[in-house]
Amino acid sequence: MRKLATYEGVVENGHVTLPPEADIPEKTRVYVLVPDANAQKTYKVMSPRLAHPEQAKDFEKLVIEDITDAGL
Amino acid sequence: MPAYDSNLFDPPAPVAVVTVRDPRRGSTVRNVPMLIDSGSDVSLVPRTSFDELNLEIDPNAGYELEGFDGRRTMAQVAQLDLIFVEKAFRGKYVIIDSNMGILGRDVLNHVAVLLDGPRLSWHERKDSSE
Repeated sequence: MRKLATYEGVVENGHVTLPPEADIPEKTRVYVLVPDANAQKTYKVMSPRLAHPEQAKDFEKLVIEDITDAGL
Repeated sequence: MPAYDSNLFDPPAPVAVVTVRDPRRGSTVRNVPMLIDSGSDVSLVPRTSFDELNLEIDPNAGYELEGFDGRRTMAQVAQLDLIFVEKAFRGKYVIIDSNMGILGRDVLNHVAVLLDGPRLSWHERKDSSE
């Protein structure tokens, strides 16, 4: 029978950060349980608009060809 | 492959994974997720990317943004390069307290992007006159 250990961690920048006492060997397969997953499912977006549309010129972009992004 | 995100969005929404670059030093943050949102006047970049690049945020330059519900918030901005579909878009970007940014029309109006909803994918049309 397998031994089971549980730790509480947080997701930061897409990575799970575990507490320091969680001394887990490299390459160990782990499983992540997410409480309240349904509550986090929908991302709230407001499609923001500038309250002062005349400021749109401040956000004009200089476009530079950049092939370092070829895979995206 | 550029795709829709069905984990965070229901119905699924098109999300681009971009690179953010400090225009002065050239340091970058990769794999920044951005919602493709043609309803947004401007683009918003997650604060974590600004922090990671240690970019200067002008505390005196604030812009008032309005949501679809009419609520207004003041937002800070910083200069950076956002790299998307093999182009760097240099200019001013709004900072958002979220892990997901928003790609607005200040960037989207420079490119031709086909949203393929049935296939839950999107791609750039290289020749927009096709």
